[in-house]
Amino acid sequence: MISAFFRDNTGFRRKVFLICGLAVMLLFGASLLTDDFEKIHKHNLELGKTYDARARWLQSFSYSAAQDLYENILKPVPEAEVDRVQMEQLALIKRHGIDIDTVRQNKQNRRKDKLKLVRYEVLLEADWKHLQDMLNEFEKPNLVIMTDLDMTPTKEGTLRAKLVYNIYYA
Amino acid sequence: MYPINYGNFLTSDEYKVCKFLYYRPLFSAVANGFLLFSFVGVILSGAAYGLETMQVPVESYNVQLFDMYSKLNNQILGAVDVMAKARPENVNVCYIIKEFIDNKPSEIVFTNINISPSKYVVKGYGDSIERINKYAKGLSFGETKMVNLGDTKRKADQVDWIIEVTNKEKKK
Repeated sequence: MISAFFRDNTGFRRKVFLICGLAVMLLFGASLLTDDFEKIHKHNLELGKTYDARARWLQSFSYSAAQDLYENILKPVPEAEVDRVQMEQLALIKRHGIDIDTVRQNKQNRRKDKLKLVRYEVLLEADWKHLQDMLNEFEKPNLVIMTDLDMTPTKEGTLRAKLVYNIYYA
Repeated sequence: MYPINYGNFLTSDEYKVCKFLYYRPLFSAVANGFLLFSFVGVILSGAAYGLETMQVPVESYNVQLFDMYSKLNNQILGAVDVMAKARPENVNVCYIIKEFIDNKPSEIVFTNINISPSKYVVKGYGDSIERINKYAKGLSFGETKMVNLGDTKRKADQVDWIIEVTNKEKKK
């Protein structure tokens, strides 16, 4: 029967082939459309979830509290203000009645993590109470970080301290 | 009376042609069915695609407000990151001194405190090795730091000691 179909010369065979060819092309088109539909559907779902998450986040976010937090985070000072900050740090030390023996500034350097800083080393002499009060205030309100401290008591009952700190600038 | 099968008077080829002609409407139906199936498939896929492209979700929140909030949030995250990086080895001189002083029994005397990012060393003397040992064990600088009681030397009625706080070796 199949061989008779292939030997058919009435045009029926050509019509069947044409119909089948057209159907295959339509199927191919349908599969392409289905693929695109799935991609868009997935994208829309993700977008919907993202928007929902953003809406929830927005409801839970307190802008004023975040603003307060941001203002209270210690930040690097502008480069032009490094000297002013250093003067403020020295003034803070003096305000606590601490004697400053020497102040040394190390070369400006840039660390691997691209933070820019100026490193200072000060030699101080003070009693424990004043030194403790000064240290508690030292890292405010700019991004000044104490990295090294060497304290030794003297015969006079005071403490001799070498304090090393970084002033970070942007 | 029983039917008698007299066989077929057609040749084999003629028989195949007749059979084909008999089943031709079936061929036609199958081909048309296939075409219909594909056509319906493409219509449904196209409709689904079209509907999905029209149903893009819209923001259910205030976009300008979100941009403003997220900008501030990113600024906070950036500033916190800078602050964390600014402290080498997470050194916090005030906290370290507080930890050394708060736990100190009155019988122990410090002669030197040396703090650097990688190592904190405290030297002093006390009346008994047990008390110094207990003091050293009571110190805590987080999971990344290790407290060691170093050299202890007995001199007459006092014991000189050294406590070293170093980074724990990272597990490989």
